Amino acid sequence: MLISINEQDYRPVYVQIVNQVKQQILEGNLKPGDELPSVRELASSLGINMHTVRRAYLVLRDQKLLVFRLGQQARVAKLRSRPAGSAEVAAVIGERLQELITEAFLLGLSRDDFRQIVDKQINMRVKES
Amino acid sequence: MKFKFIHPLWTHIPAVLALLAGMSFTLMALPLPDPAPLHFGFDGRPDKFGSPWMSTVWMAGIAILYIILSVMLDENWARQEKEKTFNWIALLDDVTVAALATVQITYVNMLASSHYTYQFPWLETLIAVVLAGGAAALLEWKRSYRRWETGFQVEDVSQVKAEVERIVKAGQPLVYWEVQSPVYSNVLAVVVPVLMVVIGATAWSEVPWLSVFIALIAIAMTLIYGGFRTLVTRENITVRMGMLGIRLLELRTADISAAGVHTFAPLKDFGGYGIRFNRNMRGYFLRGNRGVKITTNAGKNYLIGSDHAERLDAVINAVIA
Repeated sequence: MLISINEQDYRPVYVQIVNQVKQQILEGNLKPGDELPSVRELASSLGINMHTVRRAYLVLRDQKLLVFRLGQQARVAKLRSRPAGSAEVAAVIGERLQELITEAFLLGLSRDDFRQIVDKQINMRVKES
Repeated sequence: MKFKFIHPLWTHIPAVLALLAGMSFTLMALPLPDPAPLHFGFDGRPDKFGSPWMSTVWMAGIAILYIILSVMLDENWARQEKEKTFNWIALLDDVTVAALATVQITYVNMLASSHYTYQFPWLETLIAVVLAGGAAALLEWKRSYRRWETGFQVEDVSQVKAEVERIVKAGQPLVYWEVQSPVYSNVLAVVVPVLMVVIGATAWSEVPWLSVFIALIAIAMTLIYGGFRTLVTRENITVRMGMLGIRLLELRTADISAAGVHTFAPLKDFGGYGIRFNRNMRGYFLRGNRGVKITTNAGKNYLIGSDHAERLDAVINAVIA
């Protein structure tokens, strides 16, 4: 597992950690059952606050991507076998998608332009994985 | 993929024959006196009696365990061989089972004679061990070498390498994290301590201090044992172990002169797995036969076992550059 913090990035540090862990799960570098560093270890190695790492881990746990067991370190959870329900999709990505759509329209993109960008990004992701 | 033994199973024939001899002799001596003497003092006289099958079950059980252990060790050895080498560990089950069978045969013989004094049969045991060991050595010497086709493919780490180099160049903090946590390390950290606590609890009414002692050791095992965790940052490379994260190795990246992927034979080169030493280097690995060999500016060598040796090597080389 590789995590790095980009201080130039406008996104909060915990979001950067969440995104990188998610990406590595998607790429298969992190598999279900794999152990993650302890909050303390990751925080001290990256030179950040423990609460930041803890927050990232809690977000990942709430999204059912990590599991914490008593006395054990955080582990990657089993990947879902069936797609999430519409309520969960709306809660997890609907809102963020709305933000992106707003930004796209403010940039002057049309509906088709935006769809093309989304398709292109999905194709790139599929090719990578 | 179908499992196939690389180390031939017929090399264990002396052990199996010794076990069969011990069992056959016992069956031929039936019926055995009940109760039978089970334990003897220094003068050879019995001081504890019980079922005559107790010793037979123990003998057979331990013998079978040794044979299974030996099959596993020999197979592990054979899979690590780059050329035919004589595996002394292959003699382990043969000499042990021969000694056990000799003790069983002389014990049953004593029971059949109804003269309940028993002296340990040193000479007979020595003869049996030499015969079984000799036969096992001959079979080990005669066995042919077969190369193990692992189907292993070197991982393409060009993307990871480029990414780490970019992060290092940008001066961003980074953490690379890897774990080696095979099933047996979890057995040592969880299953064995639980069994110890259960066994210790049974002794509570008679020897309470022993129960407490066993429980303390069980707790220590749970805290200490476990997988190895390798953590690479821009400043340090650290290997930690177990729940407490006991630090086994810490190297400053500034003190490292070279690092490269290293393939090794754990049994032959280091005599096993775990924290290991040989003349050339100190090793930290729990499974596999690949890792990253690190050389410090002081000329010391360290080997960190890895399931993704190319990736670990790429990260280490990027941070020491």
